[in-house]
Amino acid sequence: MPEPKKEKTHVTVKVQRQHAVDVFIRVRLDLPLRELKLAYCNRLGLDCDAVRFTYNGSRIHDHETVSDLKMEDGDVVDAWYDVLSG
Amino acid sequence: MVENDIVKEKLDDALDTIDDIEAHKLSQELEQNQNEKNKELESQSQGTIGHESNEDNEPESQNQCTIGLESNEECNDEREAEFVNEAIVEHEKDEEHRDEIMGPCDKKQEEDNDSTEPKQSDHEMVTDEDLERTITIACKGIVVEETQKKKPHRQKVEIDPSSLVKRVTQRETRSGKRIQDYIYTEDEKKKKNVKDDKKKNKKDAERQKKDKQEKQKWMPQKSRLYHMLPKEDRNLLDQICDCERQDDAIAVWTNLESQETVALQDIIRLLEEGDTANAVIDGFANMLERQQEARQANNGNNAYFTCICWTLITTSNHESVRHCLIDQKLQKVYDNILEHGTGYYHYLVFPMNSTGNRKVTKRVTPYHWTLLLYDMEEQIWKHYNSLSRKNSAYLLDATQVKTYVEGFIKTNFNARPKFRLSSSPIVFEARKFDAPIISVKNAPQQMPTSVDCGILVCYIISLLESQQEIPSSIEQNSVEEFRVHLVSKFLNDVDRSWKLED
Repeated sequence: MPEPKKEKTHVTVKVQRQHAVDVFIRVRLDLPLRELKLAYCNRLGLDCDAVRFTYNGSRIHDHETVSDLKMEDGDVVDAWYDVLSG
Repeated sequence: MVENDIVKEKLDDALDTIDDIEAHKLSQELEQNQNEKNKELESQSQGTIGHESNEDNEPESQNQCTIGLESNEECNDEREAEFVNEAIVEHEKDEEHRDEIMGPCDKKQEEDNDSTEPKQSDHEMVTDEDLERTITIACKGIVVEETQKKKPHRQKVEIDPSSLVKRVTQRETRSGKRIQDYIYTEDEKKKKNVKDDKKKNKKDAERQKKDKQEKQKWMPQKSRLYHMLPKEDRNLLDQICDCERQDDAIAVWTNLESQETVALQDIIRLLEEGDTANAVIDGFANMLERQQEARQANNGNNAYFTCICWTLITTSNHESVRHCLIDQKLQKVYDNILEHGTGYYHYLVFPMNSTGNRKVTKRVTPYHWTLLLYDMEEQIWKHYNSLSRKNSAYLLDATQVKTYVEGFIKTNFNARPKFRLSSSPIVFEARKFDAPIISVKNAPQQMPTSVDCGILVCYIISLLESQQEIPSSIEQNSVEEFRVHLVSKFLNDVDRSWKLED
């Protein structure tokens, strides 16, 4: 019989951005990652809609969870500003 | 005329008096010294002058009162003074008619004269009642004069108190004594003010939000390029804009592989001749890539890399992303070459966004799109820059990408012993992958004030895909047409574009 107490409920994820300090955020497994985005943006004072988050090169959607993306401890989420030039 | 008569009369009187005085003096002197007659005669001639002066003084001495009166009155005219002189002259002539003369004088002169004249000259003639009357009237007059004079002073005094108040406030340090039980109205007002401020802040925030929303509300009809779109696309855009007003940002086009999205904002920028987002270039490349896959051709394909390759390569932060987007792609390219031969790929396409050999800081971010190609047939790196002025700087950025790609292929694919390309005529040697890099001289140029570099990159990519020659110049009309073409492509991609059902 598997014991439910030993199951992992949280994962710590590193969010990094260019010219910014890395931020470690502990996320519950079944929490929509919108919360992670908001937490990061609130901490650094960013506009959440302007920043896009990628995990392994693909964009993270608001409704996705850590278990959906199969994230593990120490995984890196990249935060980007949209690149505009002309 | 009257004045002349008066002067003549005065002179006659003076001469008469001089004659009388001389006669007196002569008789006295004759008695004293007969010898000194000659000298005395000389002194008499001098004396006449002196006498004349004395006599001039005499009426003045008598006039002193009148002059004094004039000084008291201050507002009497010269004519009145002349009347006074007349009166005095007559008074000298006939003492008997004095009363008669003084009467008219009093009438002509102001009442103030009465108060002073009788005091000095005629005590006996004026009764006590008259004195009292005149004094009271004079006092009234003086009071009136004083009030008239003081009026301007009062105005000055009215200005002064402010300074006095200042002094008081400076001197006294006021310390408020407060009773603990009593509820002061000021405190309540302050509390109310604080509450009001909070309310105001909230209202301001709401207003800002509304303003933002209003700014986001974009009227597609206003943009010029909107009217160049076909009808169906226009209707689609209108629907998207209507939904945008209700909800948050809408993804017009989504990349199913990387989940990257082209937002409505990017489409708006395309239509309003603004700058280009990376999502647009990546999305366009993705569409072309899918076309290739659909064709299933074994030669002449292009490999499209992500357009943020330069930032990924030059910065050490995003190793995981670099690994996903560039390294894995290179691996795939290499596998395809092994499988199908070097003819499988014609170009390796690196759209890149760079700073022109500047250090990337918070202020200086990549701001110019250029295109780096590796031509597999000619084995040469080509760099297309739509701003040929700063070619050398952007070429340096391109060499960074080139060295990374070459180094990666050298190190990773060197060890494979099975690497042989006997089937293809052109040999791709991973060990000696060191091709020269050139900047294409006759690359299409953007207008000096425009921000079309991203559009031009897409334009070149599309020409590569259709295997057309790249022109040396491009007109503004064709740039606009290509913008419209891009928009319609993003709107009409099956399964990836926005739909009403979603």
